[in-house]
Amino acid sequence: MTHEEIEQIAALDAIDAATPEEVAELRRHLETCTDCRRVANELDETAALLALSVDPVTPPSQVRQNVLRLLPRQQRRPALRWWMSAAAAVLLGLWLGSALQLRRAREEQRALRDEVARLKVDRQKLSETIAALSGARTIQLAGQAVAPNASARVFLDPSQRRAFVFFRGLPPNAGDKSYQLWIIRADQVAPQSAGVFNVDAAGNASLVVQNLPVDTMINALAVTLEPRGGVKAPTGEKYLVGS
Amino acid sequence: MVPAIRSACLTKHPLCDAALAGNTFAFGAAYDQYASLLYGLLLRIIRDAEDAQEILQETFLAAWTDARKFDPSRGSELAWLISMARSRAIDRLRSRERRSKREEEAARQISMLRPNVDPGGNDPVAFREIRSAVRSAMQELPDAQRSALELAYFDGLSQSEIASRLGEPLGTIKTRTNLAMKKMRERLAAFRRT
Repeated sequence: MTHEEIEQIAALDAIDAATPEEVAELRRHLETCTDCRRVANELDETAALLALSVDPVTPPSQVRQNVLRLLPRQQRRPALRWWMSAAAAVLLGLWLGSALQLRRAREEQRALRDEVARLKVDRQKLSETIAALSGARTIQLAGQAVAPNASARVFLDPSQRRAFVFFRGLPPNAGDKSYQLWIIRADQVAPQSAGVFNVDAAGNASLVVQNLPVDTMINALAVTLEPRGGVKAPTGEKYLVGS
Repeated sequence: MVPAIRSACLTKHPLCDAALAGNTFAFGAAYDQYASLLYGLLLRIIRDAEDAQEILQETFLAAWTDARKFDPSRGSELAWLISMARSRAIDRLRSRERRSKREEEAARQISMLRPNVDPGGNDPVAFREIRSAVRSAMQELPDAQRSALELAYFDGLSQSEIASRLGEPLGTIKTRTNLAMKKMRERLAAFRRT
């Protein structure tokens, strides 16, 4: 088919008047012929200009409203621009950060809940302790030669077979040493260990003695400084003594 | 005059720019520039106001969606829009089986629409200049050539259908159509981008 014949088909195709066979032949030719492709483009644009021979008519305003209303709903297919990718990355980062923060906040919330539960138990114990201490029999321990300013007070709660002991002014114990409280019972010679404790920087400490002997007299209480963790029988010097 | 016209309405593509930018406000402004021109064409082809409005809406929505497909090297934005609108209208026209009824209604529809014809307000000056040139070129065509061209362009008739309607050989109709397009191409060269 000659270029002239192709041009004639292109003229018909520009106004959609070519047959399917002619259109197929035209497309094949245009793939390789730049000159005919240029002519075909000119004919297409010429055909479009024919539309301007018609009088313009203003469409109802409703059409414009419909078009603009429907625009955002149209599925646009632009390539993902760099700033869209960046924005997506930032949003993803924010989302991940928020998720981590949320997770951390939940863990903190769980820890706080546990702390509240623990404090409630402590408060209950403290209430019981206060109730026990009010009207309880007490024993005062006095500081000995190595710690003349030290003192302690023992609140006995025989009904619960326990005692609360509060120590003050003891010298801070070394890391390899512990203070140990002893009970000297009337029914046995050997002192009975009532617990091991360490003091804080101010020399203060507290101790709850469980299984307090109630079926015998307590002749005295004493505190010695022993190897860390305590011993079966007192070996160290006495820091506090009371009866 | 011609260079100004070309720079004003054929070298720019405000509709596609607005669509690519996602700027609905600018898209609306471009709609105002083209809508009356396209609607007049659609009414001339489809001769049904409701269908014409539907196709007009489809065309602009398609332009928003497919703006990236617009290739300025192949023609102006105006030509691209017209081509989309006309193709849709011709497709619908050809899919109809009530052509005779449509033709009966044509005169009534057009006369009803006359009061809406707006040769001034929504018709940019540049388009009026092109319109004047296109009409002059059309008027200069021999009647037989112009008739063949209009039956194909505005009525969507195939060359065989035109030959049958006019009682002329198919070859004659093809020659007339070709000659008409050749002359229009030459006369309107100043108004093309290609």
